[in-house]
Amino acid sequence: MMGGGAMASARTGGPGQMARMPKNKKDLAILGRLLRMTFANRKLAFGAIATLLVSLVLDLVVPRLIQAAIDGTMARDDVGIAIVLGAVIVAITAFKGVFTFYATYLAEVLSQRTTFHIRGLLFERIQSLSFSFHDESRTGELMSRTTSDVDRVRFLAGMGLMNSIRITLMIVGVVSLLMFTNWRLALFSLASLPILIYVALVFSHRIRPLFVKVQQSWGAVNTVLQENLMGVRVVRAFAREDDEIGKFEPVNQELTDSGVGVVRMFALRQPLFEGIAAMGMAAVLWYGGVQVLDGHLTIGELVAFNAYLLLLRMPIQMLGFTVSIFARATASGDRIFEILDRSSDVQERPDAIEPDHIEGTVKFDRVEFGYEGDEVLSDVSFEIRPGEVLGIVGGTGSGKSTVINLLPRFYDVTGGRILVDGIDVRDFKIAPLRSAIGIVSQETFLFGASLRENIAYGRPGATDDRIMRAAKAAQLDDFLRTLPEGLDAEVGERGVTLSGGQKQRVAIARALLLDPRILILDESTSSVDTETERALRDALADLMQGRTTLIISQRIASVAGADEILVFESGEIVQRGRHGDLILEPGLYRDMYELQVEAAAPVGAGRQSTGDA
Amino acid sequence: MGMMAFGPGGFGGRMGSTVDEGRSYDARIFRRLVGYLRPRAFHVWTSVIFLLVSAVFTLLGPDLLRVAIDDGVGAGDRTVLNLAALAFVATTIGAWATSYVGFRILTTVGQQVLKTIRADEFNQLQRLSLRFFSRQETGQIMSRVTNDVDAINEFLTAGLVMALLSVFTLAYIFVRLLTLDFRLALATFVVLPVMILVTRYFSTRARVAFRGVRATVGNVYANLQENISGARLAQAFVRERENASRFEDTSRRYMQANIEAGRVIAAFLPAVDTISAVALAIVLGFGGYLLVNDMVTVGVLVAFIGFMTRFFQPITQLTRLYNMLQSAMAAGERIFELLDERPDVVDSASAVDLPPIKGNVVFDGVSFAYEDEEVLTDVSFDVPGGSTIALVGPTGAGKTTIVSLLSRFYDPTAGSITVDGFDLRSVTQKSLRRQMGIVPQDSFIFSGSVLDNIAYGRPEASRREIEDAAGAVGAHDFITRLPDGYESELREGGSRISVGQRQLICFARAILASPRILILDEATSSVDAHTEVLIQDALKRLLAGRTAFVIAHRLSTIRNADQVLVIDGGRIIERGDHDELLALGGRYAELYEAGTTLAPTGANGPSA
Repeated sequence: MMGGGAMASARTGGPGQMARMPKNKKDLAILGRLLRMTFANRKLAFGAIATLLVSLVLDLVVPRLIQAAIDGTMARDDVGIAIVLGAVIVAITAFKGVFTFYATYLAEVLSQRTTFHIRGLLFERIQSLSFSFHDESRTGELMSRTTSDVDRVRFLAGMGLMNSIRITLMIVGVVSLLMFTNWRLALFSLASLPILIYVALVFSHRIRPLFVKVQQSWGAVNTVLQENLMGVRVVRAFAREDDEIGKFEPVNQELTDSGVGVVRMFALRQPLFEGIAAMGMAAVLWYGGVQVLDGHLTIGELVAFNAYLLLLRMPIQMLGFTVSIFARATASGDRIFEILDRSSDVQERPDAIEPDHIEGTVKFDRVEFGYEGDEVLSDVSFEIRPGEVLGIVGGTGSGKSTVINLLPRFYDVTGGRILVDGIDVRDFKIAPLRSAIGIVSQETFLFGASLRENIAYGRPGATDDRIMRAAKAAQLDDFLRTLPEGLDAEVGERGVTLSGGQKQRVAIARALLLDPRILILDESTSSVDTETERALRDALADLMQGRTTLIISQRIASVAGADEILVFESGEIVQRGRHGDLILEPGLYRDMYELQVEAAAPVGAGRQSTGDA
Repeated sequence: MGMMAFGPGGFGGRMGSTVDEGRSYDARIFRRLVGYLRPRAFHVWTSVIFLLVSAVFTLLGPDLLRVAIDDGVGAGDRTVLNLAALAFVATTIGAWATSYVGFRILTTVGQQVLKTIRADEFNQLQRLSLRFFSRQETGQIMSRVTNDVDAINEFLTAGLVMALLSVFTLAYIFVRLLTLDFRLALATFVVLPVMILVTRYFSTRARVAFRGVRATVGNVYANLQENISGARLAQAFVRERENASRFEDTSRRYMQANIEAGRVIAAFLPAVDTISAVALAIVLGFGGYLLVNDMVTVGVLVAFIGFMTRFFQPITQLTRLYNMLQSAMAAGERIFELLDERPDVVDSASAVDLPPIKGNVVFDGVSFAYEDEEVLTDVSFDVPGGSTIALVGPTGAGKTTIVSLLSRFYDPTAGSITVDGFDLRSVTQKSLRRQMGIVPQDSFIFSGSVLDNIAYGRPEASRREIEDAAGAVGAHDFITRLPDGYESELREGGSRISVGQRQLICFARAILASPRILILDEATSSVDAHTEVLIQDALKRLLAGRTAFVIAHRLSTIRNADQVLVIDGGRIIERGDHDELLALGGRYAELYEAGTTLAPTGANGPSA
């Protein structure tokens, strides 16, 4: 009965007490958020706690029964009661087992669900953060936060939470029972508790920065490893394997050192907590013995008292462990929330427009763009309507690609505005805007999946018929016919089994399948041979009918047919007009044209000509 | 055993068959993992001794209790009681100190072992050839180096020694129970066979469950890796929701595997508890009988109960360790799979360092197949040192494969490749590649400064040399215009510099390496024509005395070559210099025609 009362008070006090353990407010806030996420699963959390409570009450009953058995046997000189009570103990333990199982199992499910939820949130957040975030961050580091850090938080939901309830309850329960048995002895045995709690707080405070270091080291290891794997061709080509090993060594060492820091604290933890607890027990044993000798206590009572104290061993052992779980979860939680709280530079307005249909008129109105004061585009204005083709040419790094990154709002303009169908792109909902734009970017990123999946990337579940039509337009059909598996052929990660030109054509097919209103081709055929390029251009010309098309290219030939050509230099439009006019006026365009015509000039221009240019 | 109501988990059926055949294999993995401890055997044994002493101190507890009750309290002797209490304090401090020292040594050793394993894996990854990397997902490999090593962490740092201690404790208690009261002990041991059966049942299930966890975590890594590096594409194609739902599937499978493992473990503890309660009941009943008949003292009975509760602790512990072992074995299997992977391309035992070369390259009847698919067939050509050879042909014809073979990223399936008369297979890969410079199709930028990236192939290069290399490829100007010039930090994703600029950095990287053989695989496809001309100009100077392989679609680049090979369908179909090939009026002439007609007719419209 005493146990029941103790529980009621501990139920509200338990987690709260734990939450108070970290020192500063930020940690508290992190813990609070993690716990709220855990408790979002109300039924599970309730089930886990309820079953735990039942099993804990039953735990407290057993020592009393042992005491009764020994005392009864001695008092009556009859073994009957011991046998009966023995049977009761077995029955209670088996009954308790069912609750213990559910308590452990439900806690595991709770923690797995919670981390599953957090992993998903992180994934979605990382996917949706704007390009400027991805420009800054490293894949390896983000992976480590989504895996390793989430794993550290997992223990909080399950073990951390349950343990703190168990510890609080066990301590309160046992102490109440002890008080009931012999209050003087009980007070005596409690002397070590404040010390234990103080040590736990100091311990948690000390180990927290060590955990932060470990997680940071994981991020560094992941980053070096990931880049090494992605850049394996370069590493091999330059025979820099030894340097790569040299790069890995310090991060590996750092991870080891921070790991050693943590395990040394662990090595101290267990003996420390147990030692303090054992001291308390020794004191009780001694004082209790004296009490028996003085006739204030029966031997059976002392034995039971001792048995209850033994019950305290478990929560005290757990205390150190649980404190680490909390410290660790806080350290990792901080890293997780850093990502989750990161707001994207590109935000959708709450009253954003969901257009029924996007026609595709694009207007740049005195657009400016820069990264941190570094001006990349200035005063860019143009307008293009469905059915028209805009060509953009310019030198390497002149800002051509930036123009097209602004249209689908991968970045937001820093000055001026971009209008689609007369509406500022920032007033649209992002998804329909981007869905209306098909991009073939200069770098073809393919996934380690089948050709079908790669082509249908923007339209998962597209019919084979539609995929084949897109593939055909991208001049992929001949290639597809040579593959025994056809569309099911795996392309290998980052398309390693395809040639550069094949990859680009897969990327073209991928964009075409979207059936976009606005088509952007950014150096999309740089790795395609001239013959294929021509065929491709013929096919694309059909597809461009009625759509708005932006072509970015180094090759004059690719933009020569455009309705308007913009010539970029250092982020500004220096020339604009049609091909026929531009080649007549002196300037960058004519220079480029002459260079390229010369380069492609018929035989005889010979080997020397390019050198002279 | 209420847990059975849940029915078999998702993985039980699928992986069940591997359980038995895996046992002998596990023994091998176990031996190899333990082998990592061998160089640190001294430390390990020292810690074992400390921990054993600590265990003995702890195990003295129940006996001291018995003495205090029987000889102190029971006999009314305060001195004995005081002494027993003092002894208890002393043993506690002793246990405390020895345990701290023991664990401190042990866990430190454990961390070092983990470091060694990670380093071994990383070194192995530097040895493996490209074929391996085209088969394996980056994320899967990463998970073997990070997550799987983490999974053997507990086993190596604590598991092994804890197991040893548990066995020791078990043996001690076993003996102590027998010596305390022979009859009681035998009566209690009746439950042991049941205990063994239950333990076996659960460990089999745990093993299956942990395999499931290991197998699914790799997929989580792989999925993350691709989608984080491909996040830009996901946004461009509005794929965020679809990707999230696929990740959710992978993540959910991982969660379910974990829950399944958790369920098995959750069921085990109550089972052990119940069995130990039966033992306790036996002690109470039979012990009570003995007590009533004065055949045993209360102190002995209390000590017996004390020992007995501790008897089941190590058993529970051992089972927990067994689970840990299962998890470690599953992870170890994946780690050793990586460590045992044989590189396709290896230095032969008699390989020599390639001396400084002139750059005569001879392909003699070279064929190459990739996963049973013939990519190159009977390719033969001869490139005199210092000359430039251009490879021309439609995409997918096999041009990149030819230069990959020359770099010995792969070995040919037939025929031979020699450089200055040395068969590539007879020289060390390093000495060969150190004399080659490659600008690959995909320009890869490492996290680090522009300086670091250009100096990648020759970290010892001076600032001047680096700037000269950048200048030679026309990259100097844009680099100086970056916020921090050469010190500007770049990221693998390449962020703020354009693709063309990245190509230039990679180009400078190859130039700086001052190679005898330079390979340009569409090195300037995204570079503007003006810069391209500058590069062509610079190349004339740079290529003097070097052999160059050039893959390009731009005729300006090709026309400068001494020899042009036209590749189609993995064969050389035409060869000669530009003028000869044009006069031939074959495939090259067609490609050339396609290239030249573009500019003049383009004015008529995009469909020209």
